[in-house]
Amino acid sequence: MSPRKDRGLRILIFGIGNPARQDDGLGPAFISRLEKARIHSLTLEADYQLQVEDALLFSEHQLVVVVDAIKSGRKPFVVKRIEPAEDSSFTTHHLSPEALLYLTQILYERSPEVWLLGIRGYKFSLGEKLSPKARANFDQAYKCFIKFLKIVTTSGLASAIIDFQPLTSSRGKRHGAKEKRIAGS
Amino acid sequence: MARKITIEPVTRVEGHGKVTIHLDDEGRVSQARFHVVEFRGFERFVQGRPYWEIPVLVQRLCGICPVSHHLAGAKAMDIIAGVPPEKLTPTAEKIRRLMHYGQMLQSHALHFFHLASPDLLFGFDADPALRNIIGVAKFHRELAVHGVILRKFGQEIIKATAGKRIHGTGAIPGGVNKSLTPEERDYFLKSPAPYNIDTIIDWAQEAIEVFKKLHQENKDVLDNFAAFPSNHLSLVRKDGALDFYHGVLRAVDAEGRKILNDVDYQDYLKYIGEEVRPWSYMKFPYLKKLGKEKGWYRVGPIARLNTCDYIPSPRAQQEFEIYKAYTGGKPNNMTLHSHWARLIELLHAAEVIKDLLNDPDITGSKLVKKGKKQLEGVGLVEAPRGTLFHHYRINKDDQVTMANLIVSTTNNNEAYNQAVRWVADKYISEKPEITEGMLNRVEVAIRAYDPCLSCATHALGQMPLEVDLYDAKGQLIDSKRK
Repeated sequence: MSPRKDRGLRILIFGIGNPARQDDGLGPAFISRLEKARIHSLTLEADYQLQVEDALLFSEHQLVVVVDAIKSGRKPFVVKRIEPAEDSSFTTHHLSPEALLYLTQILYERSPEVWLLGIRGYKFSLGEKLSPKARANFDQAYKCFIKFLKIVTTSGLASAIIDFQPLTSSRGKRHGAKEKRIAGS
Repeated sequence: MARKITIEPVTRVEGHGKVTIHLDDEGRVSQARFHVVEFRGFERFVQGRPYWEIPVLVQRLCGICPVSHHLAGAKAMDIIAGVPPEKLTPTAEKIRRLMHYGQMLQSHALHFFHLASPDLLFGFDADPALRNIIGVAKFHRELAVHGVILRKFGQEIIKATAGKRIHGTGAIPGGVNKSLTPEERDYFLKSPAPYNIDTIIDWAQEAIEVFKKLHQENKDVLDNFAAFPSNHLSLVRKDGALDFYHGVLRAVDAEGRKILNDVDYQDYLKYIGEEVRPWSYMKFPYLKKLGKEKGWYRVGPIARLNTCDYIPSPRAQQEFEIYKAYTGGKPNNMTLHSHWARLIELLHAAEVIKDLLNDPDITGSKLVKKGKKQLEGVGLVEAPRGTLFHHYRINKDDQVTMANLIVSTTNNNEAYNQAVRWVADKYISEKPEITEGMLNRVEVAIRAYDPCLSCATHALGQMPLEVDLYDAKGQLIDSKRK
């Protein structure tokens, strides 16, 4: 119930999506893979979507990586730095990472570094298995993430982030900031 | 010129809804409807699956109340496993109850503090940029923090009883697969404030005071907005007490006369019919005794407090008496009083959680029972939004051959339509211009029932709302999307 720690750096990996909607389950599948890897230095969470109480969870960590499915784009996965935003997206049960970070700042006066790891999915209808293409993208994203994690746990936060970015942008445009994130996942 | 307004999608409700309002040549409302525009298909999805997978599978229906589906599915599978509710071990029954009341706590907290309170605190006509959770956090920080902690506490209860935050496996046919450890129990009982149940109970009580204060200041709106008479349906305990987990079905009319007198929900098909209308994918349930026209009913907090005789926890009972006195003991048909009822239920859920945590059975080791397999079973719980029916048949190979789910939001279908019609008549009819505030009133009326269209339809987190305005010739003349 309390965040795990490693070398003083508190890291949360949060997978969001619905595993009953095929590739929408990429985020929770990512968390399952990390759980199997038994990486004890991480706080791992999975849920259908972000909720207001996750502001408290965000506030207890210094680095947060939100793993989510994305519906468009040519790259297998993208990484995007999340900036706090006073959007009113929480007029539904769906809360954006940007709004959640903003809430974290208002409610808890904390500002963790938040990144979105968006993995490209293709099929979002009822079904439990990831599509083969999404599975391939998932594997690539996971390998890259593990490299990033090693850097984080040995070098510290800032340098890791700097190194994380080129890993995801060696081909084409950096970070896919304009990639469309699917609603509710 | 006649017009039609469509509100699509409905915000702060779950799923994909659409409101259409038709105006005649004089600008009067000729028709107002709440539609669900996508088909769920989940009943087919579970066909062919082994019955013991159902309690886990059905959680995928909804990211908002997965525990309710988990438990309704498990209760149906208890029947199929030959273990009726009264045969569960005390530990199994109480662990499930704890999980369910944890879900009720977190769901009701989300609805009041973060979905409904923006309208109540800032007013229906306030700037939409302010009238949301960010506005509440900025200008009513303590209220927002209380909401977060209440939510968090409920989520932690679910995690401790179901095993995981999503896709928990706690309830299985015939019982549960874990109980609480003494450490888990003590975490909820003895953690420093605010993470202990006593603080949660106090904050739940404070939330009722917040509503009462708002009620004093806005009595006319809160009493009269979208108020209409209706029948009410819910589960009650066999002695008539409020119960979210198990009991018998009771329905009363707008005056409090019993229509269904504590019947066994295994026989629900004798009492409940489902009407299909061509313009919506969501069915319209009704009480067969009264027929399609007059048999529609409301479910959820307001219905539960109208059907039950008392609340079996002291502080919530005290609040219930105040609430009932306001209508002279008669059923409360005021739509916005559903927020009041929801907060009384929030307090009750917190009190029950404390009682269960202090019960030695909660750490017991007798978890599962076995019985003689049956081929059909119905499970029913009171989900946060209202009565939830799960009905399954299986074949001799243990595969599900039929599933029928009537979710809370479907049970309230006609109530949404009544509410939309009320707002359209009152605020949109014969008005020269349609403003954002008018359209928000349509949403406020729907939102009072906290609909969850991802259950009723298909997708999670996608709650688009559209309002389209059409003239008498069917021409779209105005449209607002959120």
